[in-house]
Amino acid sequence: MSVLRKITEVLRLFTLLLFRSIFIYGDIEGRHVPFLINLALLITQVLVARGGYECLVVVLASVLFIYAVRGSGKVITYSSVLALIPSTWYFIVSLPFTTSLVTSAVISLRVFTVSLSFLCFFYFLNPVEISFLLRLLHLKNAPLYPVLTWRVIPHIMRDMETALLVGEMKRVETWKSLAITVLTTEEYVSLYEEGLFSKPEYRPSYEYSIKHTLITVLVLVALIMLLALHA
Amino acid sequence: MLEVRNVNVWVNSHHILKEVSFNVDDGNVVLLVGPSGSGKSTLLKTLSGVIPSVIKGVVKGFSNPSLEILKRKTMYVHQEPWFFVSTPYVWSEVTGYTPIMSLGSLKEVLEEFKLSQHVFRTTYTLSAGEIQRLAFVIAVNSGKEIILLDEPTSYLDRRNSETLVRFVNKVSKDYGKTFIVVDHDLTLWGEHASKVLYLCDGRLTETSRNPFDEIIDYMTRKLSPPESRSSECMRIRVNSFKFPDSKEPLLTDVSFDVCRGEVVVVKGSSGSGKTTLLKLIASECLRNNEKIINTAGKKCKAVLVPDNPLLYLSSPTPVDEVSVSGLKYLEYLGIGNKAETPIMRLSSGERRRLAIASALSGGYEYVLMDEPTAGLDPLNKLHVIEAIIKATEFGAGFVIASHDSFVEKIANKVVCIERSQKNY
Repeated sequence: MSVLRKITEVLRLFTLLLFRSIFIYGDIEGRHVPFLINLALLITQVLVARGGYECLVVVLASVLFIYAVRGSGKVITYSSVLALIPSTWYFIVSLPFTTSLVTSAVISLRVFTVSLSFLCFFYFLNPVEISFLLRLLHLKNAPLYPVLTWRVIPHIMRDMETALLVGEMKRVETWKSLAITVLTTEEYVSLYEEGLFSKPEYRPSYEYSIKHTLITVLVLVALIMLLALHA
Repeated sequence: MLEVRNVNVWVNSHHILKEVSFNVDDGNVVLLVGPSGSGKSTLLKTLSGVIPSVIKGVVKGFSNPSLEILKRKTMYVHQEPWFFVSTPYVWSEVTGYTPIMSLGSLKEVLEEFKLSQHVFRTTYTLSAGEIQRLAFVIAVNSGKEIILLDEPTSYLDRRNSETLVRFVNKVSKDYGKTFIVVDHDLTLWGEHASKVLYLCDGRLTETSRNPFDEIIDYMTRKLSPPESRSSECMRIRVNSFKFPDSKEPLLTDVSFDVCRGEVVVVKGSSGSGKTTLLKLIASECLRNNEKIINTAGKKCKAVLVPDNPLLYLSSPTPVDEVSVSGLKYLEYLGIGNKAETPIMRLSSGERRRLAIASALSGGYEYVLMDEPTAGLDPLNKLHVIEAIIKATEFGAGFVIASHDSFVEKIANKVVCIERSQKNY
């Protein structure tokens, strides 16, 4: 298999992975936790992860717990594979400087944990909630943009995956398949504009999940307490 | 009543609509037919205000109500339904654009179009047919008085197409909504359409007979499966395939052979997994997986033509896209005169035909096609079908996912896949 085909295949698999770790799953109750609580949890996780080895393990456990308890345990595999990419990179590039496998492994674990926290945050981010909040702020047209972004990105990613698959079958260079995706994206802007033109104003409605909000708040409080203990 | 008099439209300096005049009474369904590229979509875009607000163009003529008022009264559903849906979940799309708020009413409305089990599903995992039905549900519940539907049944199977037509008829009668529908299938709309307008080269005439009658009659009588079957086949065995977001497998026990020189049509209601099956075959062909075995014991040289033809193309112009032998396919599929035109300036039907010409001339042993005739008028459809038959004579085998009954007429084998009830 030529190098070019390998690149195409890797790119296609990466697109699929990103697609599956953030976008593919439908709306679930676990995605109905207030944005600010999710954000506070992410910030706390990043701050706690700056601590020692044991703090890292606690943060990692909290991320996995959030995924599992909020009904998305199956996403962990995809997110973990994705988070392994930067953590492996950091392990390799830090090794010549640390000259210690353990130190590099801790750096790598820290990168893995923080990456997973970010992926978890983005996974549970509900664009409809952001739109709903923007509407409460009476920002004209703004409510449409978060949902539209969440709709368009996976649409383009899925097309990119198809274009790369076809390109691989046709044995054309990867850049040609990617160029088509860029051209497609450009065209999509005007096509979405046409599609949206006669639709009425977008009026999002949204309901929060008390159960999942409480669970998330409990995890957040526990992490804040750990942070305070280490301060 | 909607009255349009002597409307002329220019886009990119091309005179597309010429002296178009017609009337539509409130609560009527008007069917707009005509060859691809005749200006049908342009007319809908003009009435909805997309031209000149989004697509720059010049519009001259008279309409009552005025085009400015019409803009607020109309709902235009795009030919490519993907671009009509703008939110990530089915529930957020319906509740955000219609007065429907409660989950109960939402499920009730969606049930009519067999979408109620997809309420919490992401809109980008819906099949083309499912998204087409969702777009329709939003359009009819949006509160707009005039609904403009551009090929609303192009990705639907016959049963769903008939449901849609019945629903249009019911809504127009019960709620007085006016529908202007672009569709090539006159028999489907039958007596439900109060008027049929025929648009050819930008000029409009009223007609009582289908201008494509002779071609449809020809296809009905003459199309038959090719007789070029060779002994070299590709064996397809899919025991079970499941998406990570579903609890139930999408495909189970799909097993068939496709031989070089024959056509296998994959049928099934929208969302049954036809596109997934084609992509699965494509991926496995690349990996020479044991699920896909060539009886000659070698790797299958196959290609996929997706339902969005642009994703197939990889060169800037048609002449660059096809091999030398492909030029005759360009001529045959009626795009020979567009050989030097940049692909971004081709219409969606022209791109589809170009992708097909490129695949047929690429020397592939097997060609996988997803809805190759979607959105094509009967004449172009006939050209595509005949080109496929021609390619079988040169040894190409086809696996075609299609709802089109005319494509089915050339099938040596029909594989039906039906979806089990799934939870998302």
